Amino acid sequence: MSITIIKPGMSSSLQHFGHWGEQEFGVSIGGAMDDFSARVANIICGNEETAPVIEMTLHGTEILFNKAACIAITGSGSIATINDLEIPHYKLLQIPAHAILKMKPSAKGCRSYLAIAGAFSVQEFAIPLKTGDLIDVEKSPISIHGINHTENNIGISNWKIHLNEDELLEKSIDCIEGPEFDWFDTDAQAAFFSTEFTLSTQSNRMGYRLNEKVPLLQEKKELISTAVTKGIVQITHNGNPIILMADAQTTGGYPRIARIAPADIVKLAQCRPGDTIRFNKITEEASNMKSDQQLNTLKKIRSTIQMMQ
Amino acid sequence: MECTRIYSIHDHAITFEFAEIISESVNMHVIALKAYTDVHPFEGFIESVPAYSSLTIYFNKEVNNDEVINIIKTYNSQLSTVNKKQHTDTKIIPVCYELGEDLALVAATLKLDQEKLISMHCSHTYRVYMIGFTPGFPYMGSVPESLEMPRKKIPSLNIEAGSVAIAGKQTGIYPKNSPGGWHVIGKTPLKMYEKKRSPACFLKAGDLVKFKPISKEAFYQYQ
Repeated sequence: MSITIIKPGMSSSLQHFGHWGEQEFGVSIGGAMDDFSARVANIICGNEETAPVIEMTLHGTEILFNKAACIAITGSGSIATINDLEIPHYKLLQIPAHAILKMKPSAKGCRSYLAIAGAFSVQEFAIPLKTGDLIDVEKSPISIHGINHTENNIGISNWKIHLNEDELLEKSIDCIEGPEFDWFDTDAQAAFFSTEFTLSTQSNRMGYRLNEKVPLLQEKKELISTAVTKGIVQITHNGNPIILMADAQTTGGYPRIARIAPADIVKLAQCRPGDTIRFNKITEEASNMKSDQQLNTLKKIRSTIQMMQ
Repeated sequence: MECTRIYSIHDHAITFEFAEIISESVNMHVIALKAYTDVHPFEGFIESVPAYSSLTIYFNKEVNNDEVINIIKTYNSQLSTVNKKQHTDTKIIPVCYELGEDLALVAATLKLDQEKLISMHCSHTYRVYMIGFTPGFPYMGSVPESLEMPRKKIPSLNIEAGSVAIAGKQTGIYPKNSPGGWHVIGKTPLKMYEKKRSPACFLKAGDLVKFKPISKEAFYQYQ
């Protein structure tokens, strides 16, 4: 079994869940931007939670399935169709040989994930996909119950993962004080939490640049380059915040006003250039609780799916 | 050496900072602590990232923040009793200065003739303080005072792979084509980072480096 990329769309890539052990050589951790949605796609397909997935940014991606397959689409940012029939996200889909998946424009969200039962077989990750790429599928899919067939020969599970999708698309982002929070005076700190920030068009998998500024440091203090990672919010010399995302560089030298609660990175991953966000301060304990809740949600989804197999 | 600041940069990453200055002895301490941690990995340890004056420890859920802080503090106190002397070979990096696109501009700005500039850049042994920015980019120092050149006001959109550049007290090598704000004074045929090579990264933090001038012909023969 294999799939062929007809069009990569805005940007599509095969993603993993983080590459560790080479940060000291400047190699970033990387991995799916919306780690949560990517994991859910694998769980629905009965795959290992961290099997490779295809990350599709906004719309335009077109993929040909060379044989019949079971797939799942999660995340948001586009409307998915199979052979021009709109299909739901967060369900298991049985599709016939030679089916074509097309990702069409939608009003909200930014990144969708495609997982295939049996999992993609890949040697290298994070490589942008291009027209003509052929990706093999590792092994034959498992059988899952509860599939209803439509007249177009597409099977759709009669169950759906229940997620509060509105919550995942919410634009209030929880964060914790960053290592240099105290370097900023109270005006700058207040501005950071009260400003409605807009994502610039120069936002990508490395980082999101925000259009609005916060007041600069009073005394000119330089931070000596040190390790940074996904979720760090740094303030550049002209006052614009940059939020470091999945492909963040490993070191940086701008003062770090905040770090995003890890559980809220998924909300940022679904923001598109032009979207507005607000930062909301929470404690480290509250952030840890949110992370635990997210893990519990995944656990619940996994046990629901296991009952269907 | 005592930590001056300990803080989280993620719920699974803690930075141990030893100074707010760039200093060879501080960086030597950071590298020694990294080496000690790497050979004494604790339950839940993932990796360590050294920088100029700090070491960042990444770990997983098997261990909590307080435990990591205690372990690293203990390692740090044991470090003062072990031999901190680091034995490193000096790595020689061939550089064709003729291919440095900003060489003439830098020489004019610093009021040096090009020959003098090249011999000054080559006469020093540099320390690799850290690797960062892109895979394999070494931050090296310190360049002689008369070679200190400010960063470009407007960064270049594309600096070619192998470009040897300077900025302030630092000198570095761009491993791949990328944007950058440092002035390029030469080019090396060596690959700073190659995925399929072992080790993939040519240099590591704590290494010593010397540059050797080569001709254009010698540069192209390397390839």
